Amino acid sequence: MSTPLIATNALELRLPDLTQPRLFLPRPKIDILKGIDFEIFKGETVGIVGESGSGKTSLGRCLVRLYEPTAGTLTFDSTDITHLVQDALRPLRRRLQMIFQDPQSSLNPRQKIRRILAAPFEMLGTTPLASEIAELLEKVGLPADCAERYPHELSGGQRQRVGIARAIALNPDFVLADEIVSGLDVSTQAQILDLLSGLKRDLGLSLAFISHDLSVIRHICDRVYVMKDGEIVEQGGTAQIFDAPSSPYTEELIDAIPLPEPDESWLDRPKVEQAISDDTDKEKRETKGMNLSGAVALVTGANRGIGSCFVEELAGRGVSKIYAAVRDLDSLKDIKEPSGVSIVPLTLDVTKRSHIAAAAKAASDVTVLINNAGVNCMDRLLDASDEAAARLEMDTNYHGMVNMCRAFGPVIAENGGGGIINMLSILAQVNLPIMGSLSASKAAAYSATQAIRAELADKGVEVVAVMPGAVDTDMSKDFPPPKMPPEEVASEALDGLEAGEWEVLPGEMAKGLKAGLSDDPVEIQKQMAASLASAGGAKSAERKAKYLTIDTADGGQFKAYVARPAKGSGPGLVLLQEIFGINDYMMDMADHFAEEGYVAVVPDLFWRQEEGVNLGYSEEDFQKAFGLYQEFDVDQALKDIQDTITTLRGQRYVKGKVGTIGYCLGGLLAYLSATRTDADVAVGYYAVGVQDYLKEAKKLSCPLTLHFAGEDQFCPAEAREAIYKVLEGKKDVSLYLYEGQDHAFATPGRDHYDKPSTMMAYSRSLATLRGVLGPIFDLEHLWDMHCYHEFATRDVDATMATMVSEPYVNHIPTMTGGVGHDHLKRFYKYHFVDSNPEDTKLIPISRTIGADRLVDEMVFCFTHTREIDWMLPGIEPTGKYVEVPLVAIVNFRGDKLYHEHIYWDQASVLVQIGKLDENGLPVAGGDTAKKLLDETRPSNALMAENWKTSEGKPI
Amino acid sequence: MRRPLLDIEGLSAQTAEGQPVLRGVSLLMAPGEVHGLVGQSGAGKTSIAKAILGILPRAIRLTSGSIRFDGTELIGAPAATLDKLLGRDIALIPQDPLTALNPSRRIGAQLTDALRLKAGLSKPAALERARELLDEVHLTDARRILRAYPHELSGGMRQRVLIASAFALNPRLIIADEPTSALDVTVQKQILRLIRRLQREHETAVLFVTHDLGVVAQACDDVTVLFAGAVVEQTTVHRLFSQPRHAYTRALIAANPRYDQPGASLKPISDDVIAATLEGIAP
Repeated sequence: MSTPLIATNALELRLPDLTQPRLFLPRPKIDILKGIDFEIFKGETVGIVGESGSGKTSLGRCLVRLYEPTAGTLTFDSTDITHLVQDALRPLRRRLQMIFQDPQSSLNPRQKIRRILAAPFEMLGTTPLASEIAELLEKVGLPADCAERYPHELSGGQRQRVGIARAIALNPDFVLADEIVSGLDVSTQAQILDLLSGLKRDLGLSLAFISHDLSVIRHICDRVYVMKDGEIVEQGGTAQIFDAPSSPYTEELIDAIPLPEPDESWLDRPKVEQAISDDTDKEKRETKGMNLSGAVALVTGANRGIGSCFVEELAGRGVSKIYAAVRDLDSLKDIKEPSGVSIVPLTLDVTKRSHIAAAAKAASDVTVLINNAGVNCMDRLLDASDEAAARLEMDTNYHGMVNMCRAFGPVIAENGGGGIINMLSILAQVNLPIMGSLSASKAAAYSATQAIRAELADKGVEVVAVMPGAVDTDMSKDFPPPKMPPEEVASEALDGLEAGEWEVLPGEMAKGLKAGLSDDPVEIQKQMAASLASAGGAKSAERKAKYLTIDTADGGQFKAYVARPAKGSGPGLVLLQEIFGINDYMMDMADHFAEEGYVAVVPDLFWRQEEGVNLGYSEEDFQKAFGLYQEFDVDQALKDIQDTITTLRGQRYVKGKVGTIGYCLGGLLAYLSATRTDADVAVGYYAVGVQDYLKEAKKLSCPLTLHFAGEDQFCPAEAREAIYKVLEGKKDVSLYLYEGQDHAFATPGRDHYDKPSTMMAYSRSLATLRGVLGPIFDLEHLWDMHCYHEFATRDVDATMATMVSEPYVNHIPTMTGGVGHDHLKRFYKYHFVDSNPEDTKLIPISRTIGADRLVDEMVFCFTHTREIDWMLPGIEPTGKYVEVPLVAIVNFRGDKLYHEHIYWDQASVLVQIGKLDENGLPVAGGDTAKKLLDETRPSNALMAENWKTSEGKPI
Repeated sequence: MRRPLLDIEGLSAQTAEGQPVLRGVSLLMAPGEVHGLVGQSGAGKTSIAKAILGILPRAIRLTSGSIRFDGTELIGAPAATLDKLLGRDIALIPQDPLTALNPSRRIGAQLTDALRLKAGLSKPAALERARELLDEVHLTDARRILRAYPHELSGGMRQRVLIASAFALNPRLIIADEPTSALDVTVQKQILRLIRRLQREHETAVLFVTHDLGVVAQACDDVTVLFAGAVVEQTTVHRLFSQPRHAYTRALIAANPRYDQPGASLKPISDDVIAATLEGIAP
């Protein structure tokens, strides 16, 4: 292999830029190839790869001289053909051939294959014999009768074979194959590639193979050139390019090829639920499921938690009788008896064989058994504090469940079949070290459930394993939120039984835990934090069809949009609409208050006029809204609000009190809800028409906060003054005026939106709500946990888990930080947690805690031994010791951090590291921190002479 | 499985000449599931997609079977029902982003059409939502893109616009017809990741039509392998690639070149397998 067959040296190509339209002037030219050195030896197959626009096709076309290079040289068989004219090229054409990408368009549709294959011969002035054509067809694996057909009568693969036959007809030395298999099915592609390798071998061809598909390149090429933007970024032997690429671009190209082998990490998606979805569609269709209507159920542990929810859910699904089995009958006192179903109390301790035997006799008509009773002693396996407790866990969760199945399996089969639900936990499959003993008992119960299912398969008894994550019950009270509401777990479990599923993983957390975790429990606790965080985030998912139906005192019914906090339950908050119905703004606000920990509902107050009004803020919508407002019956609406509050108080997931908050028209309604309903607190924004209802002020029965806009035409100054006159100074009433603001200043997207006032009003509203409704979060603890992970463990995932799904951090002087989860995580990971010097130290000075905010004042100390991206970006380490006062204002939403604003005196830092000369400037270095710690140090030194001028003057 | 979102049962279709196009295809999709529909050209993938969307060419006639979307029968449904579902509950990401966009209208106008017509948003609200959508598909500089004509965007950007448009009305099912076949691999990967992320966030089910087994393996949860209009295998992607049950599936996988297995020779699907498969499928 002394001289290459084809070689290029610094080859360049400039072509007119077709994307630039020019009517009269010539189009500007762009560089397509920028100095390509390429060579191919005899008998070699060389791959040219790159993305669209990389210049690979242009290079190919230069090699066969379809394009004339602009600069550089191109030699073929030692002859310079760079600028050869067409006539001089003709003798070479026989030796340089090309197969095109699209055989359909490269074959003349009006010619038979025979004519098409004869064309190359005719170019040399000869006519091929029929036998020559037949031989050619045979070489490319086509039947001889193809010769008499037209291209459209052939399949894509066959047409590409014709293209190959045409290219090899004249025994060329070099063939350029440009994306020749990209349009073909894999099987046809395999055939064509096979054909090509065979021909290459038999005919001693040199083959340049252009493709964007690196998998194909790997299979047939000896060497590879990787192109990008008209340049060769890498070239080498195929194995070397694939196994040890030197250019990151090549690596990226290879990594972007999807392998036919499932790998969730490739697209960074959670692992799919293998065990669950392993059933094929067909199998899914064939599973039986059971109909609960008319069934007789037995629920263990029926007095509380998921058990009591099962009782309610079963009643709702039309079972005829429920045995509520409990250890202590007294505990059933409080259970509400649903109508239309008889509840039969049953004493049953599942750890006692005698109890189980008696129950099987007493409840001999059972067709559905729900093994819900369970014990959790929150122990590690190896250092269990109390062995007896761990034993009880096994006795209840495993032996109890198995014995119940043993006793009731035959009963259910005898009664004509039915189902068994075993309440397990995701811990049956994913071990959590802090609950090792529980995990073990649940895992055993899971195995047993599988076996029981197999044993009962032909007896008409469905067996379902239900594995939720943390549920909002006493059993997982030590667990961090989000927790799934127990009624949803019960509901999903019964869905599973009815649908004939055999494993049910209720809730995001169960799926997330199972999906996100490797099998190594050591990794589990770390990853848990991240998994929990992501479970709280999906806003759009929550918005789907979450409505509560409200029954009114006068026999009507209307809907209310509901947003619940991540942990599932919380105090209630009724959002009272503007005049636009339940629109996006109201739903956004509800979602927002849910993040703050409230069960937020937006009742459809226009329902008596028109149901489901959802208007925007366009002129047209405004007209309609105004029309509705004109006809609106305020007195009736207050009754509907009372019904909403009453309904909320009756919901299992509403814990504690219920308040109202309203905007515009809703502001008035909020005020009136404080005088006419049993709301526990009310907040109104730019209320319209309060002045007409001031007589009711003496009936105010709960704390009230009203926000007024100074320029509000719907509440002009005189009206406002009248309101202030009556309400100002009243106990538990707070009135706030926002000077210069107009109506609806707190609605993003509306003309008068003003962010600072919105934030101020929000903080004040929240303070009112928190004061009455709670929930009170331990902001200090949350902040400490955040800082602990940020500075002590330097664990980014754990840090992010303390924040809302889309938080932000702004270091004010340097504008460093991050906005949104991904941006901020990147910032933390690469520019923060490990970028602080070893000796970084925080000296706390003061801490102020508000309703949703915490302000930390501290002295930040470090030796500048490394580049600190967030504080001193772009400054090489100076080795100087720095102390600077620093203030962090931390805002919370619910129990998560929403944002941090960090302030410090950058001038002081710059002076201390010697980057700023303090002489002549009113700045101070390390003294600022020292004076913060010791206020008696000299003041006003920078004022120098001016300070002296006031000496001795009267104070 | 709860009530399936998409329930195709025994769907058969043929050409005017009586040539079978689909032979008793059944397929179930759960809400939020990503289901791959894979097969060689002519296997019937696109016909199924078109049958769901009610846009089969006239020359192809459905002869039996049903397509239920969330319990509603789509075949023979009144135009008003279909009109309500299509675009709103069921959306399409087409293969070729260039031809799917009107070259003479700005992206903004095309993106807001559905929002205004189907979701009844006002013009400013629709524009605002369009801006959010572009943001969701990581097209920064939304202002410029909304004002751009399709040809001013790269292929990857155009495909992102179409993805944004598909997700605009929060559909419950998206039919993605070879959505990445025309794209470079690096762009393909970004687009696949984007579809999966949005799909996960919106809990949207996606029927993913593709001929690329690699794309199936990486982007889908469940998969249906089609051959000559019939289902030859239906399972999870994990099982399809770890324990393919049908000889045709095994042959299809073996024909796929893999850059990480250079030694393995590519095996075209043998005539024996094709003959046996044809024999096995219902007439």
